[in-house]
Amino acid sequence: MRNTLRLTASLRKRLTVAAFSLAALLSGTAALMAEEEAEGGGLNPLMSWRTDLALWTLVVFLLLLAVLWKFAFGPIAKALDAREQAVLDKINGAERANADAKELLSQYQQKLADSEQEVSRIIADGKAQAESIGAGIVASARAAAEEEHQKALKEIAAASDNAQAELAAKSAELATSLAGKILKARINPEDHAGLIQNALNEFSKD
Amino acid sequence: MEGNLVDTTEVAAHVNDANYFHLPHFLGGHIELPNIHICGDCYLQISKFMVIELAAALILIALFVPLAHKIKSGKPARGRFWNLLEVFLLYLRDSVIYPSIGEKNAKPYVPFLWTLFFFILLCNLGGMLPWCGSPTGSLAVTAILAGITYCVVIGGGMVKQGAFKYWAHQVPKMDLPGPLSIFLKPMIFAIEVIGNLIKHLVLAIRLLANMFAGHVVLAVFLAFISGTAGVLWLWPFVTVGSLGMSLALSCLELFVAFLQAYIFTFLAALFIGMAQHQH
Repeated sequence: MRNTLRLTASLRKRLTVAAFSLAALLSGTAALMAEEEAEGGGLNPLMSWRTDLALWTLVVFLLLLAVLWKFAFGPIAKALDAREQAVLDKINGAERANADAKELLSQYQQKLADSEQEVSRIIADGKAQAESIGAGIVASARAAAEEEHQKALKEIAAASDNAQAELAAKSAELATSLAGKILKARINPEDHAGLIQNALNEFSKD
Repeated sequence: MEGNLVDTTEVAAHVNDANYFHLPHFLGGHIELPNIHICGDCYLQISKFMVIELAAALILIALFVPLAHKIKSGKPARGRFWNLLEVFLLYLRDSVIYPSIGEKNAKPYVPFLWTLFFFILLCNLGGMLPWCGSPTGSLAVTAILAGITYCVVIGGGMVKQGAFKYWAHQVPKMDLPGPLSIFLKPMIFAIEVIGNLIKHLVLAIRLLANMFAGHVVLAVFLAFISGTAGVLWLWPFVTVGSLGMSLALSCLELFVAFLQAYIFTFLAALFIGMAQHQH
């Protein structure tokens, strides 16, 4: 109850202040308007024209415009345009460089791929060449061996023929000498048998 | 008592032009501005707004001439402050001027519109400085700025389309029968030309009203403090309330100072853009 009372009191105080402030504001404005009317527009900006201020403003503004145009805003506008152009040029340059680099990259990649193919082709060629050379070497070696073999066979055959011819010659010679011996001696069957036996022995001895 | 709550002359002194600066005592107190003798009977009374305009012009020169030197070589500006200035310039150029006029036609107008924006902005902001004021809260200033804009709009249109064609194009092409055309076309021409003038007059009034009204409201709120000074039980509440409101309104005024400079420049760019093409 006491709280409510205190609240009411504070509210009443606030309301009183607000009311007084409002009254003061309203009466102040009213007084202001009344005095303004009495003075004939003391607070009316449309009634307080000053030609000297207008001329001064004209001169100051035009001089300021001239000075700023020549020394500040003219150069600044140009500099900003130039900077924008430079940035645009740089962006275009960078884009061009990027495109060039991409093209170069693809060219290099193409070259790399080409050289990889070339390398594998060279390797394959080398292999094929090596294989054919190897096969040639083997074939010629085989041919040489075969030739040697045939030569050896021929030599053996020749040697055998020689030996046989020599044997035949020797046999004939022996037979001739034996026949001579037989013819020289009269021989009885036992001698005959002994001669044959001697001849056979001699033959086997040779 | 309530009739004297707000001293109108005090409020008017805060928002209107004056021939003096009213500073605190430690800063020199009341300083009367000189009345310069030019020739014969011709005098130029220097006013508070004239000094503020001159200061605004000198500040702009001091800000942008070094910026021009910094970026002239093509390198970007270094440092937060210079970049901030550049952001303002680029925003105005790319988001206000180019879209309104068209990039191709806009180039010759960019320095003018930049100057217009920053001059109005600094004049607006003058009102946020203690003991100064907003020159843009004076019709003489806004009317001249709108007048210069009007000249640029018409001049730009005549240069682009040709002097005769520009005025001829004020009347849109219509298939009117002969007698009616003789009667109607001059009327349409007059309406178009007067309409264009009014648009520029509104440009001046809009800026003036915004700056003037804002500062009047601020001054009225602060005047409540002195107005209630005699009433001891009311004075503290009014003071706290007035200061709070003044603070909030000052923030709003700061925003309005930028907004109105932007709107003036944006509309000037739009009018220039419209004059570049026939109807």
